[in-house]
Amino acid sequence: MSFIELNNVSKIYKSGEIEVKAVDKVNFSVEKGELCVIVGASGAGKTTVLNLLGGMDSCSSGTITIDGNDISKFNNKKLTNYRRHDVGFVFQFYNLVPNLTALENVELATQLSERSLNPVNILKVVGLSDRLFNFPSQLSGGEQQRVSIARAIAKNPKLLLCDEPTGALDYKTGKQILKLLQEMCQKLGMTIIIITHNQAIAPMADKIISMKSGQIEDIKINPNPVPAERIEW
Amino acid sequence: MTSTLFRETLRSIRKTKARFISIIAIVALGISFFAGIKAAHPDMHETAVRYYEKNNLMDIWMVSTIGFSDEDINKIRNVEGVENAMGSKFVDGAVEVNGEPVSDMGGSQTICRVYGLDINKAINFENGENDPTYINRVTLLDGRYPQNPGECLVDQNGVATPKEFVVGNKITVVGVEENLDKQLRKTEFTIVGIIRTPRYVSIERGQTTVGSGSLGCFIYVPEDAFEIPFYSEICVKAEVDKSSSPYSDLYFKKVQSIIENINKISSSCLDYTSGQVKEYFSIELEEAKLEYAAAEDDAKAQIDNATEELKKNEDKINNSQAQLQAAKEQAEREFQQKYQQLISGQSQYAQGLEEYNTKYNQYLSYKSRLDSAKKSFSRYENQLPSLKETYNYSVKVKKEISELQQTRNNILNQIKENETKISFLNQQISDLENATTSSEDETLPDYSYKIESLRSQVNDLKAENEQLTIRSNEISNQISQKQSDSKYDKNTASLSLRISFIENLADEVKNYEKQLQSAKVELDKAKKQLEDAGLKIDDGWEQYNAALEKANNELQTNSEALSDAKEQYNNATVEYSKGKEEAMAKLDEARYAIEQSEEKINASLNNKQWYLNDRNALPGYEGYGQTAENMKAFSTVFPLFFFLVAALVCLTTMTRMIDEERTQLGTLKALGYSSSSIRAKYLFYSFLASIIGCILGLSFGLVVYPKAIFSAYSLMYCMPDLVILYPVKYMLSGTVFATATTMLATYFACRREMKSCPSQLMRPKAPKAGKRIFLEKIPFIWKRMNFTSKVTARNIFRNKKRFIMTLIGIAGCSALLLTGFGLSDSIDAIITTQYGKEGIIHADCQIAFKNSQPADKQSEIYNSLVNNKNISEVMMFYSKSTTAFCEENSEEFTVNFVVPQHKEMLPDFVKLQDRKTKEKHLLTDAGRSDDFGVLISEKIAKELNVRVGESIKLKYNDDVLELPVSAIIENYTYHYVYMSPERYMDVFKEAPSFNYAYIRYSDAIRNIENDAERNRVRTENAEFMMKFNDINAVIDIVNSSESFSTMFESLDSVIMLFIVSAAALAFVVLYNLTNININERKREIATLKVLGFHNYQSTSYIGRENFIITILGTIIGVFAGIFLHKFVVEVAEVNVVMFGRTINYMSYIWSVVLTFVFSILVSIFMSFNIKRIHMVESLKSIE
Repeated sequence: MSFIELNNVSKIYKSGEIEVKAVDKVNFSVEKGELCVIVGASGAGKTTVLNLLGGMDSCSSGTITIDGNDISKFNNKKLTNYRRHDVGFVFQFYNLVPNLTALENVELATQLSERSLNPVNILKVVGLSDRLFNFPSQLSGGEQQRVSIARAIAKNPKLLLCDEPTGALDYKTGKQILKLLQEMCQKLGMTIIIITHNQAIAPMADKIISMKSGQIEDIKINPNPVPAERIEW
Repeated sequence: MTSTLFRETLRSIRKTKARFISIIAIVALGISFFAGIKAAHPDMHETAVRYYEKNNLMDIWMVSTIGFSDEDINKIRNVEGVENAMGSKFVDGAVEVNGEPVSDMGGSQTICRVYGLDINKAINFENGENDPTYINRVTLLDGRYPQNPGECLVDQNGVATPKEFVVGNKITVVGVEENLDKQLRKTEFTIVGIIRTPRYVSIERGQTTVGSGSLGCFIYVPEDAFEIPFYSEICVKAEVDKSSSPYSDLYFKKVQSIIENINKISSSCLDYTSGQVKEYFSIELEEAKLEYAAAEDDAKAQIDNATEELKKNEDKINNSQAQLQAAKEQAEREFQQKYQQLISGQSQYAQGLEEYNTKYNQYLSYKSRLDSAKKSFSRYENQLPSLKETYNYSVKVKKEISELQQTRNNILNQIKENETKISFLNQQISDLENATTSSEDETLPDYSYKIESLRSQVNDLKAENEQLTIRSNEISNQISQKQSDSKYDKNTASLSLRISFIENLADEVKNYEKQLQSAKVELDKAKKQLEDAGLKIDDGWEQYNAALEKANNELQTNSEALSDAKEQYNNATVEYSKGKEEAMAKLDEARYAIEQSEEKINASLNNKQWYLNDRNALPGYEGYGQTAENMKAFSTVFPLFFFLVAALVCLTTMTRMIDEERTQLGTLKALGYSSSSIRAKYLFYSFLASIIGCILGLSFGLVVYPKAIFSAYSLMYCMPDLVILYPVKYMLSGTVFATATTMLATYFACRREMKSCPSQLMRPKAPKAGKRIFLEKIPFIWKRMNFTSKVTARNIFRNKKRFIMTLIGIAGCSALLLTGFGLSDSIDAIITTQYGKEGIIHADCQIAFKNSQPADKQSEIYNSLVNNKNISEVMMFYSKSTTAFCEENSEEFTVNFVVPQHKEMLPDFVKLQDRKTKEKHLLTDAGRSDDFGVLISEKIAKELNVRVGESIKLKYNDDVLELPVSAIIENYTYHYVYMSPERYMDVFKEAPSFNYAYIRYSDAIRNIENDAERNRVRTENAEFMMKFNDINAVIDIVNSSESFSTMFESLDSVIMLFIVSAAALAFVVLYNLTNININERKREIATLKVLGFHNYQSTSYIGRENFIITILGTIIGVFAGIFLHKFVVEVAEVNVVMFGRTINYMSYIWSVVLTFVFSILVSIFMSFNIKRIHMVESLKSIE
């Protein structure tokens, strides 16, 4: 059994009498330690998939199994604990707490999890050892995203979910972030799912899932992922 | 503004309906409170003004000791400044409804004032006619006007009017110590209508000269119900400027000047009228005297008759008593005899009984003897046959034995004989032998033969003996054999003894039985005899007792009849003496009444005087004005705060709106719209919202708040419906202020955004940057804080504006609560510290004398008061109402100028101490080095700004007195200036004469625990004192404080209204601010949720900030509240009262607790909102 398995997962939003199928009977799996990229145009349903995976939303039908647990059956409290212990999030707009320093933002996460890693070390890993006491507003976008990644992995999660991590960054910084993520995957053996509309990022993944209109268009396994530095767009 | 932008503005209003409405609501709330409270005073004032005007309330109230004649009225009408005058009649008496006396709260009779009313004028007024000669017009509320002298009108006040005053009930007015027949044609009236009169605007009814001294109610009857031709009062309308308020000093000054004008004609009028009165009453008196004489004769005749009859009855009773006595004695003798007989019979019986008892005892002893004999006999009875057998056998055996022994003895004797023979023979033998041997004589040969025969003889004998021995042995054997026989008893004698013993026993038993038998017979005989005797005696007793009872019953009935007769007689005697007494008392009373009225008339004629009062003498008039003034004072503080808070909320809301529409702002700017036209949208938005809010708020607040306040006072005051004014001043100022504040807030919010360039605006607003806070510079503290408290600390100070506003909201809330509760305390303090048990005025009542008591002489009345056991202390004093004034601002205050009889006694009735230091002060004499002069009460000192050592200026008669102040004393109601009698002497060159006295009851009365009981006793004493001819009124201090407390109770509820509204607003503000806080930080909270914060953790993340702000705010609020309370207390005080200055600790606790409750409530609402934040939605787009 794979580390992550989605089985006939659908998510239907209802507004009034109109039903919108954001995700329509999706099936795929991701192995432990894999770096998986989900690509697709805006509205393809990839963010919904990510939200479902991250326990931020629950699916309308189907099962989502993460490390043997069917999270689609979880209640709110269990989902919160799942988010707390098993998942790390990286957002397009970083979502750092503006009132906390880089270190404190990481600490905010580590406070919650027992098996969390040392925040200072993590920030060192993401290359911010000299920016520990800066507030988000004093950091560049790339640096903020690094703090965000540090915050996500500081909890030592089973799964790292990244929603357009390079979306708000320039080319160069974006590549650095991708490199960091690839390193996380390779060095720490973390399972990472990145969603992006940028097809160019795909070659760095072990598995590329293409989505369109809420359905899987294609699943491709890439035996030779390209190092992030070599990706161009 | 282009049309498209305008359209967009309208659409954005529609889109943000909730926000738009919330601004409208908050502006409406703020302005309605502001204007509503502000309008309460003018509304209340105007209501009164119109009421007084329409109902033509008198300006001057005149009463006279002798009454008024028509001539007086005409003269007064012509006095300069008098517009009109109306004579009116009234009389006071105790009231009964449907025959039942009505009593007031103090337990004494309710005194009712019966006013005469010109019914025609009243009906004309009701029909719209404005007759200027009809003064103090009444308004009919229910029912109809009286049609004959037996009908009346009453008022209907929930507190003051007896509840029995209902249309249809019959009221009887009864004179107190005097008969009203002379004054009223009728004293019974049927209630036909309910009215309202401007004479009595409050629940106060004022004083009277009868009964307990306080008036309880009043009724209006047709004027022709009065008998007396003189008027009791004259109601004067003065020519005063209609535009000046009837509560203004100007008005009162004008009225005072007219009073002085009227006073100028008083003596001539009094002289004239007294003549008329004298004439009228002398005729009346003459009639009364004649009546009295007739009554006296009648009574005497009746008494004589009664005496005679009584005498007859007495004789009869004495006779029958003697008879009864004789019968009784006879019966007693007879019974004595019978009794003796019975007693002797009884003693005989007792003797018989004794004998019987002896016999019975004997019988018993026989019986026991028999029993014991029987018992021992029975023991041996069985042995007897065997014994007898043994005995007989033994006798036989014995006989045999003795026979055998005889035989043996015979044998033995034989043997002995034989042996003797043998030995004899042997002798012969031997002799023969010897002879043969010695003589060999042959002659002798015959011998041998002989010897041979002899020898054979011996052998024969021996053989015989041997046989005999054997035989004896055989017999011995037989004997021993018999002797050893078991059945044989050797001791036959004892056997026979025993047998005879047993046989004796048997004889004995037989004997005893015979004895017992005979004893029993005898006993039975005795018993029978005894029983017979007993029955006889019992019969005798029964008969005796029955006879006795019968005799006794007879005696009883007889004596009962006698005692009945006696009782009847006694009753008759008592009745007689009572009747006699009554008759005498009635006569005395009648005589006394005649004397009294004569005396009274003479006294009033000798002491004839007019009393002129302005409207302040009308009960409740002044109080209403003060109440309205109170409202004015309150409206200065509370509403403003309210308004300010509303403006603050608008400011935050608008700022938030502009923040939200930032991108749109940028877009518009980028399109080339000028800053001013973009700003115009928001200004228009806020302008529209606040104008609508103002219109709504004003139309609502100007009606609702004054009405609510007025209805809170409706228990106290009887006024027509509230006149709702729309004071342009407040409406405009409120609207301008409200609109200006919101628009200014909008302007500043816009201006900040407008400064940014479009590109900046179109980008999402950078979240407020994190900053190091001041606390972090103190590592000593910062290092000791844990992560969460650090975050909380930094968050609190992150948005300073919101922090400060929340702080203000909380502080305001607790400050207002504390002020409100404190104000309640202050108001309570007036009654408790001024009139409480250990209060400032600790006299029990105040007596007003009819005539001033001179200082140098111990008057009769003073002595009788001092000697009363219920009164522990009496102090007379001189009191005059004068005017104290301040030259700087020409303000005037009415003060009580008091000179006590003895300066040392004053502290026994009035506490003279400093409020803060509690230092006791004394009145001082003139001419001492430390002497300054008078003591003045705290409030007047403050109003006039007079300090110790400075002088207070009093208008005294026509002079102005400047009195140096030696100390300022604690006092809460009215103003007082105390002066020692010595100083009075010094200043006025004459001794003061005393028109009042303070009374202190004995401790026994003061310490009665039960309130009702104490009040009853106090009322009793007041009634007692009222009986003195020289006492005009007895005012119970406790009762007089009650009118204050009722007034303040209403005030209390108004204050509570303010507090609740203010607290509600503070709550709204807090809620609004917290809501905005959460909305602004939605993204942050969503992030926390994504990170795995549970709902409660996210709530406490924000809640902790609020909690700390609440603590800080409450601390600030308590201090602010202390100052606010101080301020409000000073502003709210009407000039005759001073509020308490201290806040109770419970009030602190309550306000803090309530603030926290609000804060917690807000937090609960907040937690719902936080729960509702959806992570995905909140994080999806950037704001």
